[in-house]
Amino acid sequence: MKPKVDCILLVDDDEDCNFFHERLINKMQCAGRVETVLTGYDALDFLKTSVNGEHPRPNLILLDINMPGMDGWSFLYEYNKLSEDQKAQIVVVMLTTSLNPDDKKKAEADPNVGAFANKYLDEESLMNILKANFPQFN
Amino acid sequence: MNYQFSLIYRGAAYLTLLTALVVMYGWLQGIESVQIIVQSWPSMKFNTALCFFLTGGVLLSTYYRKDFFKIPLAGILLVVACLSFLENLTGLQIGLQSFFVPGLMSAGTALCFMLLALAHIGIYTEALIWRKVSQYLLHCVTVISFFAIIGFVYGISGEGKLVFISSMAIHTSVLFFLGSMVSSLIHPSLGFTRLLIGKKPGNLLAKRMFPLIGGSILVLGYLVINYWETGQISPETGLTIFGLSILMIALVFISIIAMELNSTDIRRSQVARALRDTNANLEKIVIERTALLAEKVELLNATTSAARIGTWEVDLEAQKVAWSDMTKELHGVPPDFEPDLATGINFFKEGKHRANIETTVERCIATGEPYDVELMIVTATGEDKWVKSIGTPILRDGKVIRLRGTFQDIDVRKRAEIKISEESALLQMLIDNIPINIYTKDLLSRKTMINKSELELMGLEDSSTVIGKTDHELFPKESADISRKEDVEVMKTGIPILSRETSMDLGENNKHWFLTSKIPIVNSEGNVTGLLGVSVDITERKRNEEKLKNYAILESKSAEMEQFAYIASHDLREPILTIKNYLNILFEDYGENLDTGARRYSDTILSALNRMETLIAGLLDYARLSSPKEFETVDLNQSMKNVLLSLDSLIKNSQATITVGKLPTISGYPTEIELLLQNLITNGIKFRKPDRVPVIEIKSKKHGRAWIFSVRDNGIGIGPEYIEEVFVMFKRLHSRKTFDGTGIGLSHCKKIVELHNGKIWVESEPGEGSVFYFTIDTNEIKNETES
Repeated sequence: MKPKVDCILLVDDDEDCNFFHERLINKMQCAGRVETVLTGYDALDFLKTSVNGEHPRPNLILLDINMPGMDGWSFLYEYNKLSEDQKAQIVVVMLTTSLNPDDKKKAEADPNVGAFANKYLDEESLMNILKANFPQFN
Repeated sequence: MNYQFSLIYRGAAYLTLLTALVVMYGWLQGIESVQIIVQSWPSMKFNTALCFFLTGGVLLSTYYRKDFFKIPLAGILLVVACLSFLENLTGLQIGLQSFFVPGLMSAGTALCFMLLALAHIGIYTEALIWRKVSQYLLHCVTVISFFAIIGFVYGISGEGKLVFISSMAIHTSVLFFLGSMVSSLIHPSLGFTRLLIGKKPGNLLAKRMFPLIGGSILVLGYLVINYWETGQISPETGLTIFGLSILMIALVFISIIAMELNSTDIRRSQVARALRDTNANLEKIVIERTALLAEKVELLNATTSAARIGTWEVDLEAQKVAWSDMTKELHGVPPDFEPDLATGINFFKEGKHRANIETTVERCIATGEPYDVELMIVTATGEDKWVKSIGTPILRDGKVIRLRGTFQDIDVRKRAEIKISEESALLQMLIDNIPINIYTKDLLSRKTMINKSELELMGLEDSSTVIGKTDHELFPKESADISRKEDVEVMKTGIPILSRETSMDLGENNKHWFLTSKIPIVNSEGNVTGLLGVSVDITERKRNEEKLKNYAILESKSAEMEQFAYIASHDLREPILTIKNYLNILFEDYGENLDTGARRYSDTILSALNRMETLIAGLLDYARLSSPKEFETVDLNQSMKNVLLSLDSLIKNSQATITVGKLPTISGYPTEIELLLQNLITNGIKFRKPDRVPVIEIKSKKHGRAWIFSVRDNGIGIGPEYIEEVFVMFKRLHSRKTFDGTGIGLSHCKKIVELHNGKIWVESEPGEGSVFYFTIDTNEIKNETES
């Protein structure tokens, strides 16, 4: 039995990318389920929506920085305003195709950001992220 | 004796001689008429004639001043006359009576000869009294002979005559009268002659009276006696007529003379009055002039006193020095102070002042050259004082015997002058040394003054080549036209131009910028006479401003560029990554179904995508290098450690040997420096000869003001034709098959070195290896700047 997290939320306007990452997660069998949203607004809505009195609270959010409308940074700004039970124990991973080291610095400076990675993730990089944030993967 | 008198005198003398000779001849030949002249009258005796001959000689020798002849002749005459006189009086028989021709001269004649001889002997004596005596002796002769002549005229016979003149012949008396008269003319200012000769009114009277009265008495007396003797009138009537006639003549004559005298006196008194008036006038003028002079003297005194001018005099012969009161006051000594030459000199301040006055005075005495010097004295009260000393020599026979001069207190003026000259020197020094261009121009924009700074700008050394020239003669026409226009504006309006930015072309690529002020120069009458130009060369500042502007543009451009590079890289990468990843999942999902052809094509696509990705990354890095940042302290030893660590797997796989010498600490960009080292080392390993284990050696060396770093490898080397090209972006020397690469690495290196103000170059021997060198300025090295 492989270790896994309950839920991973993919936030990316690129459906190809979402498809790729969902496929990767399923292949690795490291999450109970994968949720996909195409915009930051959708992601916020998702987090705020309670199902049966409970917030979805995904374990991991893979967040694309470069998105039309609300980009990754704006999302993080709004995310910070959420209540603790809405965002408790959530690890946010910033994803980008950009090689700009400034982005990396900025992301690392944000306490809500658990990791910073280049798109696309592969098995190795995803595993490194999981290992770094979730003890059950060690 | 004047010329007329001398003619008369000589005539009389020669007549005397001639008469004497005629009478003597008459005696010898017995011609009676020449002896007697008038019958029944006494004759001139032979010895009388002889004496007259002697007398003529005496007269001539007196006239010609021949004492040698005169004294003996007069002596003989005197002796003969004396003897004759004695014979006459006493009747003694001396023998003269029968000498040559018998006959004795009368006592009167002898007396006359005696008196004449004596008079002529004493006529030229030095003592006035004797000259006077001889004059009166001559007058006696004249009177005696006159009486004798009257006797003859009145026809008084021998018995009725006076004793003395009883037997004097007529021509004898005339000769005596003549001789004595002319002799008395020798000294016309003496005796009775004076009365007749002088020009005063009395003389005039005498001169006219004597001949007239004498003549009228003679004529009237003769007539009266004649009529009386013939019995035509009684003696009483004759005497009365005679007396009245004489009285009438005398009265008329005196009246005429008196009137003449009166008119003369009137003229005289008029003249005297005029003279008195003139005199009075003159006196008035004298008084006025004297007052004026006194005023002038007072003014002079006041002036010299106010101007503090004293006088002095040095008598070099007597070694005496005199100072005026003011001179003493200036020296601070009391009025009774007695100076001498040495003390005078010693008042001058020791040193150059005293040395100067000493040489000046010496030269003045030696050459007679006057002097005028301004020197300092120390007064008796110990006060330093500037004085002006003027000295004028007084010469006698070309030798300076005295010095005279003035001594003036010029302390206030001199100190002010010195202060002004010091201030002006300071100003000049300031003008010469201030790094601002300063000049003055006249109304025609000709330079009248120029300072060093302005001269240097023109590349000149001597201001004389510039003075008097206009800008048109010194600068390009375009600049000169503008400048002249400004000049005219300033001088016309009197309004200065302040800190106007101007430019001037001083030759090829030598444009200078100035902040120029032009200020009109106004004289004391308020007229503009020129202008003062002050210009600061702001070329450097201007260039820096330009640089900064360019830099700012560059900076914004570079930021833009960087932004562009990120976006481009992001957007470019995205599709590549998508293709790549989907290709991968294609393999994963359908790998078994693909034949070998499809697989090979897919591999080619994949490797091309990888290469594209690397290129994009490289471009982005290059773009990032352009953005300027702050230098940091970089310990190159630490940088090298980091590089070797990151290259660990490459080094291990290639079995490369890396040796690193001791490296300095510099100030620079740490990331870029590491990238530089990493690139160079990577290159060294990458371009190795397949049959050789790579050996890389890194060293540093100080060279002048820079550090030189070298990275040596034993790789394939670079052909000389490519030595320059290796640093060009995207330039690759080898096929991808032989050596993979983007062609960006070395251009990165070049850029990084240039960011550190250094240079990079390569030396290589194909087949043996290459050495990459780069320099970094030591002034960028922290350790160096600290030491």
